[in-house]
Amino acid sequence: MGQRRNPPLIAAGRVGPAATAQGLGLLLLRLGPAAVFLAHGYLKLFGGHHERTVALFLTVNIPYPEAMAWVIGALELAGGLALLLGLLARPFALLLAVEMAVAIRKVRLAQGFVGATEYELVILLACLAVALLGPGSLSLSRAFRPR
Amino acid sequence: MRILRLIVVSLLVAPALMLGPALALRAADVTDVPAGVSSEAVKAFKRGLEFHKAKQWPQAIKEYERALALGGRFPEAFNNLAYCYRKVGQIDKAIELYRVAIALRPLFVQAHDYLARAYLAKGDRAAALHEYEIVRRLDQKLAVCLWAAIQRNDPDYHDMPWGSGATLRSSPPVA
Repeated sequence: MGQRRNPPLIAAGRVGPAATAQGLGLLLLRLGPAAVFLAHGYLKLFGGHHERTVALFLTVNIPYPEAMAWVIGALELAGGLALLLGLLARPFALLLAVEMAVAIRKVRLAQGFVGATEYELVILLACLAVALLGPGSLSLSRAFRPR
Repeated sequence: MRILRLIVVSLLVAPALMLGPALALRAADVTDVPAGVSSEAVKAFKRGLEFHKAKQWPQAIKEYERALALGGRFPEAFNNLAYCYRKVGQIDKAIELYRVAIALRPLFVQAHDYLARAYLAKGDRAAALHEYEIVRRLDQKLAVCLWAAIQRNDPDYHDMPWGSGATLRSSPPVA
């Protein structure tokens, strides 16, 4: 039975060296946005950047700027942690991708591509990749998955 | 075991990331020129600044516009050009240029302050108050002056041409 099941799993990269490489690749893909969102979420919530965030939201006409600054700070901190640990990574990656899309639309487009939009675009694409592929084998979500 | 190792590593990495890059903030200045602007544009901008300091608004406008035409499309150039237009009474043109400066740098506090004053000059108190709400969150000193201007309905009251940061560092000309 085992011999019948293994070849497709190997082909799909779910066991063996391919699985390790894939898991490591997805871990690296998660780590970039995780570092960025953890740092920015922390600064928004605890690092004294709340007022600056509210000012930015007022400038670009985000509704309920005061409340949204807390919500976005919490989303970034929780989302960064989710990406780092690989737990609930897909829904958080999708939410963070939406946030990046709004940031591009509302703030960055007017500033051009180089040195502006490129940054959020790379993070948006990385988040979308995680949302589509999942966190991979090197993640906490595997620990809670029935084998 | 592998998962346990991952948890330990994650718990070690997370606080290190949270300490994060502390953003080096300094007092804003409307005389700054960002890197990457052509030397011709910088020269025109600096000539504009000299006329600006001397309150020779039409000459300053000419030089700032030259700087923009030479590719110096940075927030300070739009902001300063808007300031000069405001001083010669072209409020709508000034508002349009302040909006460009703010689109390029959304937290450009001087531009928000001046935009509020431009709205005040136009009689749009609600828009001026909206800008005040932004300034209040970015620069307390500037906000106090702007609030006094709004209360007096006088756009020129405590109008600091170089922003509070520069005012504290040096002694710029008083408008």
